[in-house]
Amino acid sequence: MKKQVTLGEQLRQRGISRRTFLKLCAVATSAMALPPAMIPRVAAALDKAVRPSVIWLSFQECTGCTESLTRSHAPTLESLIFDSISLDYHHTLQAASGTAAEAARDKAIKDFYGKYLLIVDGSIPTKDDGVYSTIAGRTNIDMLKEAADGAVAVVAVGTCASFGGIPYANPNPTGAVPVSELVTDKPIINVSGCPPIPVVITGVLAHYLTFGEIPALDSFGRPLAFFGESIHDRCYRRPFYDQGKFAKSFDDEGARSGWCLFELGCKGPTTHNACATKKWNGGVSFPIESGHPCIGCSEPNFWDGGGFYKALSTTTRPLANWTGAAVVTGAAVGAAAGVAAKRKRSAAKRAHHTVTADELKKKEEA
Amino acid sequence: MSGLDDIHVSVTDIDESDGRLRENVHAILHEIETLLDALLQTGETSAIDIRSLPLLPGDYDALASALGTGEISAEFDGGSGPTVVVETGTSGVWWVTHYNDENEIAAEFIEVTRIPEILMSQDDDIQDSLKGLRERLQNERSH
Ligand code: SF4
Repeated sequence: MKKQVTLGEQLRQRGISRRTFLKLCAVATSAMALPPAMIPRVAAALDKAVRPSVIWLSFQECTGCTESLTRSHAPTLESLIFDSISLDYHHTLQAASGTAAEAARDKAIKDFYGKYLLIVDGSIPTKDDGVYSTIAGRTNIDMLKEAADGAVAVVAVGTCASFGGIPYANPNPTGAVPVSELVTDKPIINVSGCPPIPVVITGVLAHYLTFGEIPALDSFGRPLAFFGESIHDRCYRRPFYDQGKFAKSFDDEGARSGWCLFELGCKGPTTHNACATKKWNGGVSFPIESGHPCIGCSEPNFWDGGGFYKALSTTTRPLANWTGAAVVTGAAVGAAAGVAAKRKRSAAKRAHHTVTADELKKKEEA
Repeated sequence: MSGLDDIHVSVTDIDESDGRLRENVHAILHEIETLLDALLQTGETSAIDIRSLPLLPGDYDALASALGTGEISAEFDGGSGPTVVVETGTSGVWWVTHYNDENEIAAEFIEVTRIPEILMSQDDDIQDSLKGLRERLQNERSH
């Protein structure tokens, strides 16, 4: 282990000029979605920041979140790892494998106990004692609990870790639960999205690195800087919505003219995320700009939302405040869903309609 | 790419009357007007993070052409990708683009200032240079 040098010292030792340091601070400020007036404060904080140790655990997931992270352009993953954080365990990105990898994790937990940031992607299957996902013979439940014990905070990356995501979707055969069901005594930051926007993942890490504390969160535990507004609030097609100009099919005149996609099922009004401003692929575009309605992937239970192409039935009120009573139909409200029903997220579920595969097919054929 | 080109998509302006500024560009220019006035009256500098704006396809280019091109452009690369600083045709308004080391845009700002701070020599760097210069002179004297 190297001794704890500050980021400022480290960059100077590498011959990075103050000017370039200021540039990196401007980039970091933008990545954190903070106003440019904060650049001097970010510079002062980053000067003194010490690289935090980060342990990343992947559970029941598709690796899409890691794929997304590796595509972050501001900062790039490389500059994040080499300059800013010490990524001590990530089973997809690290060179070590097998028992060496397990040993690396144990060592990081021991060396930085009480100080490291734990990042989790994927949900955790709890049915049948968690046998549906194991690593080196240990269940995800077991591994999460052990690693969370020594963490200062947990960042749940992706909708699976934040809200259960696709594994949690009806009928949830593995009894999948989000991190917040199992870790109750640590601060949890939910960075939802399927996957989350790359710069939102690195932006949250940059915030922790810079200020040494977790950012302000919304009622679902998501950083307000990125999830404070709905897609609809910031959507460039919004003037068409306000004028009542809607595309009715994907190839009609309205679609070609770039009108609002609400009637094609856009979940923008009930979805909180930064796609409309941060965009994807280095800021090139985002789904609505490419002509596809928002599917609401950063909201709880988006998969069971009644069909991606079904128009939201009413209102643009945020899900969190929803008290409507559209009942969840469909079969299994599994064990995990039962637990979750106690929580706020169940409100989100009620706000959606469920739909059968048959209905979906009919809709597609129509 | 020919396949994509075969799909005809035309984005109509929200503001359909020809020749007038797009709504977003209009709003940003208004903000710049306020900031420029403040610069002149009080010397207060400011910046707008372009990545925080919900720009329409085409807005970006429209904004750039509305601001125009000025007399100065500068570029530096201190090892983390280039930064390009261009004075726009609107004096006091600068367009600053930071690239990462893979040449993708990492952040982009419109700065309202007499000269962007990033172009100025920084005290830390001046100190390092001064130290180096003194050492060199010292060495030469002892020869
Ligand atoms: S409904 Fe969707 S496409 Fe229409 S304005 Fe809202 S977010 Fe944009």
